Amino acid sequence: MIKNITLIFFALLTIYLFYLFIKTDNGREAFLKLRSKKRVVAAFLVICIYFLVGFLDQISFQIDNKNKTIIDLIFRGVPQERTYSAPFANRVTGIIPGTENEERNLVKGTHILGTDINGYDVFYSVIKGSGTALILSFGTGLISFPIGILLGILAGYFGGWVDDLIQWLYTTISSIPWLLFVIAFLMVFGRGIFWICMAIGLTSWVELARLVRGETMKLKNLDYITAARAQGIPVARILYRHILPNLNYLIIITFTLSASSVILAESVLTFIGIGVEPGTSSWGVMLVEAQKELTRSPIIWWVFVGSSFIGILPLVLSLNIFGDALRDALDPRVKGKDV
Amino acid sequence: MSLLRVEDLNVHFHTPTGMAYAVDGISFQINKGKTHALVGESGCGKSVTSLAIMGLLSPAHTKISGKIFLNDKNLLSLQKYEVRSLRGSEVSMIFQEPMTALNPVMKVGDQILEAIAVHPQRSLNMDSGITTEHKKNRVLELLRLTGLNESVFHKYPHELSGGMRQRIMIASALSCKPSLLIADEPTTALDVTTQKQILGLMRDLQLKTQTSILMITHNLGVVAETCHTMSIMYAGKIVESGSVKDVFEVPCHPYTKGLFDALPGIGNHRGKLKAIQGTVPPATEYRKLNDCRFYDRCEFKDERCDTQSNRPGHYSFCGRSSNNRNS
Repeated sequence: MIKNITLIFFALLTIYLFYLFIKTDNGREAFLKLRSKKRVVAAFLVICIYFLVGFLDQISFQIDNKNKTIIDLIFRGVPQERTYSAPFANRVTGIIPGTENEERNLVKGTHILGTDINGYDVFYSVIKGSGTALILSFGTGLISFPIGILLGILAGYFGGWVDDLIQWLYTTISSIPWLLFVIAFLMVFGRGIFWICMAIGLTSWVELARLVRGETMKLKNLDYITAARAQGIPVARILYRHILPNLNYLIIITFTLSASSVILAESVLTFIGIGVEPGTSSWGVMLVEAQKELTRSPIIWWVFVGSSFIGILPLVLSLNIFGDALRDALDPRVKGKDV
Repeated sequence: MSLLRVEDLNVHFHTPTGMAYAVDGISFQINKGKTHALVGESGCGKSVTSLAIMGLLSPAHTKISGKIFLNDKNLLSLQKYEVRSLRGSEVSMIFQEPMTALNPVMKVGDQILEAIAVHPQRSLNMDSGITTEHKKNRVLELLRLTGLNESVFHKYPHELSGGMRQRIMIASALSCKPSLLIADEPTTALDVTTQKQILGLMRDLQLKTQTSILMITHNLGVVAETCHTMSIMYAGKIVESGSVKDVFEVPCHPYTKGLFDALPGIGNHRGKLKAIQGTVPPATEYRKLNDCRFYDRCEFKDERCDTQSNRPGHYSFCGRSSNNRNS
């Protein structure tokens, strides 16, 4: 049984877009260029691993009247402890004096990243959180980017009242405090990862629209756009075929940067209690908890390290490296230069 | 019969400093298969004239009046979409800077394909059953026609030299067999050997296709080489026009004379080159000038400067031109 249809949909859509992209001449060239760089291949593999893990976490089975995903099954052997335990430790942390030798302080299994306050394995939580992170960052992008690109291009190209209207729209949206808007939105439509994507997506297109608008205003006065108009090419085609490809770099950079900020935005929502449903693992939730635990003595560092360095960092770094390389590969002007 | 007839064309812009009278009542015509030159210094309204003919000026800040007849159809009275359908098919344009006039992220072959895709029937001389293969073959044919190798199809603009890019521009401008080609300083950005090739190419293609060309330039050498008739523009007005032969033999207007005097001559190494005093005033000031707009910079000016003369086939705004021809 498939638990969450959203991720499957995104994965299939991504694969389909990738296929379409490879089919074109430019796409194949870009693909070959990307393939020739080890760093990029490594980044791509990391992203694939995250996707694979996220995907495996969405396929669940009915076992003992409980839904268990494949990831759950893999981690079946990892027991729950009483409370904190450090990575590879044999006893839990924070033992009451005088009970050092009691058997109940011993951990039941090995935890490579220790356990959190409730005794859950941190590594397992990190793994479980990757699906949420991917859905959030790609889902939000899927909603905000089409809006941002479309409105930005229209505003930049046509100017006049179209520009005024779209500017009015995005200044209005950006003048509403982001958090208040999202809270109100989630209160109306309910919790859940889909509505979080929607809420963040509907507010975060503003930045991209601004960038795209500015770049389009610059592009539309360049000779080659005038030349395209002089050839009688219709406006829609000019926007799609002549201006949009020139905005590639802007879109890819914004996407890789926004992917990480969305993961953090989710933690803010979780912190005030309107984030993902209780019981769903997410890096945001882990970060919020880790923050509190960093002030304890002895310091509980592994929850923080697990969520940020094992969870967020490799994904965001890989997205950045891959996005950067993709941008260069799509830009024929940097052809031949090793960047 | 004239292909293009411009009558009393005015192009005025609203600017923060007032109305700019970039083009202020000019008239000229181009016959079929002929080349007409529009000559003048920078800022005299030559390019604005060409953009007005193409209908590429944004209507928000521009006031255009007058008449532009292309094949007896007034372009200024047509609907927007009608003008668009004429662009690329009836009229097309070559730009000054081949470096910036090609889309840097598109293969040049694709860019020519774009031009063909707008008017495929006209470009291919076919009514139906047009396939991608047909269009691609047409692009290769155009590349051959402009003297380029077919392998250029898969190149990006930055991989080509300036001359090759200008050939691409010409190929895409001629892709739909336009009856009028506007060349806005097509050779200014090129070195002289490439200039010669490009001009030769344009002339060959003109003979083949009977296209009329409006050549905008400030290079009198180019005019002598390629054009049949010419107009000299100064400060938004045409000050002298006629056949190239007439104007070159007997330049009547002092401005024309000034332009000719400013040319370096072969074998004449002595002395400094002559220059016309001063600069073209800004377009917002044009209407504040004398009736003769060149008056302030004219070296022949005197109290009789208020009439104009017309000799058959050779028009000059300066009324004194016949008197000072030998002075």
